[in-house]
Amino acid sequence: MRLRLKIALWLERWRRHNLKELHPLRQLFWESTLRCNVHCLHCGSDCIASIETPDMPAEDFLKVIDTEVTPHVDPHEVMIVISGGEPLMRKDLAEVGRALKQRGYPWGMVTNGLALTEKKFHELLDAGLRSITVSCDGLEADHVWLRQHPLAFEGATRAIKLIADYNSRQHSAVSRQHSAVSRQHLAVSRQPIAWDVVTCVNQRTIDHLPAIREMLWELGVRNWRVFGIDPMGRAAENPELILMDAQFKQLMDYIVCEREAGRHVSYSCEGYLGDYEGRVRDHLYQCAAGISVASILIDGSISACTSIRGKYYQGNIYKDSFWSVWENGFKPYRDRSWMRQTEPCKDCKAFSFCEGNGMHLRREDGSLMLCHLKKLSAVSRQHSDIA
Amino acid sequence: MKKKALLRINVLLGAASLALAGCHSSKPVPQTPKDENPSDTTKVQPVKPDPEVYVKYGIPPAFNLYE
Repeated sequence: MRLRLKIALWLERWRRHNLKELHPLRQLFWESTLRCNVHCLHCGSDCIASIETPDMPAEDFLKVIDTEVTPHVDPHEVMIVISGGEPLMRKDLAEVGRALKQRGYPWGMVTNGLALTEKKFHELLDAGLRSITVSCDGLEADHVWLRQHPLAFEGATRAIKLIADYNSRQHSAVSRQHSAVSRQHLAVSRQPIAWDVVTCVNQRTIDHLPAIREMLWELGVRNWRVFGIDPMGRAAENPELILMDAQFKQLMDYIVCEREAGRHVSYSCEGYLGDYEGRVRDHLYQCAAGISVASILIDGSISACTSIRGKYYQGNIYKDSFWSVWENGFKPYRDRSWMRQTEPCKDCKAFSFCEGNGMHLRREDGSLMLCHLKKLSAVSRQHSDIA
Repeated sequence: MKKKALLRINVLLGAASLALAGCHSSKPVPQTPKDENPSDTTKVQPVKPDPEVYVKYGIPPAFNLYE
């Protein structure tokens, strides 16, 4: 490993240590519904219980915001992420968004785009939507296969174009703001929105990445986030979805190439990547779950990222004080030394930097379901064996 | 007081680690309007991502966009 990178990782470790002590709440996920209009083969939230599980009433969530969160934070510094299921399945999404905006919280959402009509998009913008991610998992045939809906690709690309066109118009307005008239116009018009496209790369799509990138850029995308699918939820039953070790390395090398060409392609936040750190993301690896990220799940459970196993839930808003849980709970998240006792972390020299990989990759029994570094190391070993 | 000090230290540590790792050594991140020439990155504002609010299945940060 490069010396500069090693020093950077040590400094990052120090920063993370401080951050654990501070544990400022910066991102709050709300699993607002388990209902969904597609049936993804890789669904991490495993929305099987969607029919039986009702949406959380908006007033329950807003009550937590008002009584437990707002008194302790600057709302402008806490991003609320409305997740699902598919958030657009909620009819009151704009109402909730408006309520958050009135309280000063920026909010955003992740969507498959299928239900994002122009009217709905503008309704959400008026309600304070500040950030949106659209899922697009490949070219048409692969996306439809993964999403299990014949119109999934049409929906995703229509949504992408809608957002790209909107942002293009807003950026143009910003660039004209030198005139007093335009400034006045801007004061009443909307701002550009932060957005990107996220892609789950799998065995079917790994060789199509350049074509997918070209298609997305043609639609106006300039921020593209990719990740491999983890063996959880429905994906655990479908090995074709999980990248082989060599394919995972292929993905890393592809991202490096794109970034060197000046295109903003990133690997998602998950997974310590060894020598690829600093080359495939805008930041060094850290799992912020329970340190600056919390979530309120559909049944009121208090957790961090929404895909974390039930064993690590820290409380429930219907029984516990959210803020008390945030301040005094989350011990296994903020002190991860227990992961040192698990395989394959026991004798791993990278543990200081990785700290046991992401919390969402820990099974109920504490073991790690996926080590990104091990995947990359396996390929290097194969290469050296051949040599 | 301690909290403020830690926050300041963390800002420095974050900047130093990113610089050392070369996280910003690649070309600027463009938010290019579609009707402009994508290769002309001098016209566009680089996005400054905040690593603390960028998580899987998450969303890009709403940088300075909130009124």
